[in-house]
Amino acid sequence: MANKAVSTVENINRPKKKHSQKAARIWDAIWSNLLVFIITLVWIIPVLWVVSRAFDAQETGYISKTFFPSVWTFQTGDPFVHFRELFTETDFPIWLRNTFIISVINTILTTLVTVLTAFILSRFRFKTRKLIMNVALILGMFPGFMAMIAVYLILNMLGLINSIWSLLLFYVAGAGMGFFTCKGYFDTIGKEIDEAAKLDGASMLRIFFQIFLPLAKPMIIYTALLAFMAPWGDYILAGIVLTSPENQTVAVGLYNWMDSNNINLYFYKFCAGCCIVAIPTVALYISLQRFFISGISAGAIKG
Amino acid sequence: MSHSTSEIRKPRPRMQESPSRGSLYNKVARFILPFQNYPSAIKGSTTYRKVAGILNLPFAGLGSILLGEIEVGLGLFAAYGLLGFLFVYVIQCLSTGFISISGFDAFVVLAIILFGFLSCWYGSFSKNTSDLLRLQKGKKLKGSYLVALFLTTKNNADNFFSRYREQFRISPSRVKSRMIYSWFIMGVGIMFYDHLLKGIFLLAAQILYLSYMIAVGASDLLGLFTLHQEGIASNETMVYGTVALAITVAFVLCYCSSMKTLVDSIELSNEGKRGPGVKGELSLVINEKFYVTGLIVPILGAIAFTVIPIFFMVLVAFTDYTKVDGAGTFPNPLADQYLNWVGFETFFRLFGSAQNLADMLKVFSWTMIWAILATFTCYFGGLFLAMLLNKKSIKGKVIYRSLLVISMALPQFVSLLVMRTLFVNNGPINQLLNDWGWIEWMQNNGWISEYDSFVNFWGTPSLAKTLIILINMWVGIPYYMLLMSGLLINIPKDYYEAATIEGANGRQTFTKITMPYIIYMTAPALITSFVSNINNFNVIWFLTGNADGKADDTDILITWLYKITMKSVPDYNFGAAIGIIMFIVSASVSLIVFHRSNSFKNEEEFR
Repeated sequence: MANKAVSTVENINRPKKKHSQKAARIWDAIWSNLLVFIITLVWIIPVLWVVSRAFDAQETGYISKTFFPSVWTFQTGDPFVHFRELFTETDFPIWLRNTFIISVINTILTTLVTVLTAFILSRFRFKTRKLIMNVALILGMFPGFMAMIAVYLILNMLGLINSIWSLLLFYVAGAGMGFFTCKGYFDTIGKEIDEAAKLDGASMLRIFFQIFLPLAKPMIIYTALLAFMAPWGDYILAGIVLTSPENQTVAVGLYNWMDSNNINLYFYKFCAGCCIVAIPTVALYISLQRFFISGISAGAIKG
Repeated sequence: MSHSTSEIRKPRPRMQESPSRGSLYNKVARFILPFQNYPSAIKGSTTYRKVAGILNLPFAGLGSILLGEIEVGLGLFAAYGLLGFLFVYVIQCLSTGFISISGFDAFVVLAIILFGFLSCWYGSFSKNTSDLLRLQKGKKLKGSYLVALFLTTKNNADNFFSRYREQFRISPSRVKSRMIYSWFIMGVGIMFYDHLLKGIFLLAAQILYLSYMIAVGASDLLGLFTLHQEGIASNETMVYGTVALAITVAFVLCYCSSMKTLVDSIELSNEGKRGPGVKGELSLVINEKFYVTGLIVPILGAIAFTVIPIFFMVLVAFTDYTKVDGAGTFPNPLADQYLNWVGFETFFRLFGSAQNLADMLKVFSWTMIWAILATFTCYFGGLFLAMLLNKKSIKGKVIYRSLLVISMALPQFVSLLVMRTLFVNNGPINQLLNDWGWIEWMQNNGWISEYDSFVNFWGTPSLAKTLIILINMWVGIPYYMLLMSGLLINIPKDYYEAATIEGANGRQTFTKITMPYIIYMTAPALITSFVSNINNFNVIWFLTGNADGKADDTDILITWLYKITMKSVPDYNFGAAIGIIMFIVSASVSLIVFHRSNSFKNEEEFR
């Protein structure tokens, strides 16, 4: 029925509009492609700038006569000079190692805690469930780092100041609060499957690990991706808790290099460091884009 | 695996109402409904309710209190009164010249306060009207939560004691003695009734708690009131005291649970039944009570690193925790420095001093403008980009999308610090402007002083603010682009087919189908992102942060808070007071909207 209707409408319109429609479509295609190209260019230029500076042989710091370097390190015969300096002359390798250790452990633990919390709040019905969800919602609205003084004092009490384990402890402890997105996704998974498993005598622990985790794969990858990213960008807590240079993470270390006192000394190393830091995160984001899209859409819909 | 996933997942939720039904006319009609109903609501009520309904007009919230909805009424009444007072106070301060802020800031602040004030009044009015109508129909109101909680607790306690007495009467003397010593020793009593594991756990908890209290707990708990523990800095005393308070609350809960389990199991045993036994208890832990096992880590974590710190922060706002200039460690117990409770003095300092009040209003105004602009630019920018990339005629979508995602994938400190460096006075952008002769042109036009050979991007407030918004778009749009492309795929195709048949053009399908659908689906995300923009530290701090400790033009509440807390002479209680105000702002925004948004209310409908 519907197809017929469409074809009649098109038949009536076609003779008059055929030519102009085609022209309009081509124009539309041209300007859309052009627009996307320009937007992407604008988006990518700052990134290109940093990368280019990491291969800059001018030695003028961030002040430069040209936007992109006029003399490249490729021309001077030592393309990776800034990277070599970064790894041999500074604490950067230690920061990178610290951040990497925190990231990997945090990915595993945080994902487990978040997914488990979401699973429980999605699948169990108990008296304090609503209360827990509302309290988590309200606690999330407090400006987090005003509480940093107290977090510092508590970590001090535990003797964890100036240790990367304090950061890890803090991230994992807060992991349960970020269950909303996950729970929203789990709510869309039909209840029949775990009820069937329950009837077959599987314990809830087993249902969680053997049935639920495989089903929730996109959400788990999304949560893991965010958990992996968090330590690379966390500046506030890491800056307060990690006091000595050899215990810092890349975020704190690189930020301090951009201090007005250090910027001239460390600018090229900063650029090289940015490139190194960007490699794992950008690679992960681009390769896991699909899961990221499904994660944020689920999160947005359920709030 | 992905195949089975799609089979088991239910189809995405459809819209529950057609997009066109949310038209302006219906909205207006819904808005004026309380005004139309009010006369009949008053007319049909008893005298007491009439008084409540009429009193509610000038004193919003009072009517709800009189009708028994105590918390909601009190909340509305307090918000209404405070906002009204604040409005008058700010106008008075401005007119007497007590504070001087720009006309624009004053307008924004007053508009927001007035809006909050009027929404409080309207919310209270519509609630009161519908409550009166409901009472007329003979229905009951929800009533006060606190009173309900109190009554439930009292009922539970009465129930417990009557059962306890009953079991005590019928039990043999051996059991009687168990029931008596269980008041003092947790856990031992229930071990006799196949609750071995729980008994051991409770006994251990009691021993640990008592030894903790004797060692430090009692002194810590007392310290929370006096803030004066010999040899311990007062700020640590506050943390220790809060920890002791949390542990005590947990212990009381354990104690209640232990007594309840005891009576339950004695009752069972008197009926001739047995308890779960060790095996049964273990099965409970991974089955019916798996939620307890699974939530231990997140709840303990949240209490230790979220609840206790926030409680501490709220307490700090009521102390005199302000570092004294020149003091090394503060508060230093060795130098006999202790903190004191000062009540609301910090809030008076915030609102009573001209400098602080002007700073706060200025920062508040920019915070709200920033949050609104940042949210909407990224939202619509992302929608635009997603729709553009969704077109069939675009070639190489995957490459474009991957390139666009880079700016989001970079850790924020990298991308933002790079942007900051690009726009510094002698940075690349100014260099380019100079090379292209634009600097000279601007100097000739008198836009920048002839002594400067650069555009002072970060030093000129209006320029800096514009740049912040633009750079935030650079960081934030890719996120929304991904979100929107995820949603655009999910719009049911038959809507578009139907529209094509009806002869709708591109703009009509956008305004009548795409836009309503997207807004309906993302309303919660829009609010979450508004609140997170109020608290968006990274963008503002990495772009314009400095250590001067003052409220700059580009500072939002959270960076101002950070500066106050992290400056060389930190003003902790002042910062805490600002933190509380921020909480009130963001919490009320989200509560109002979450209350109204459907997807939060109808949790079960999405199943």
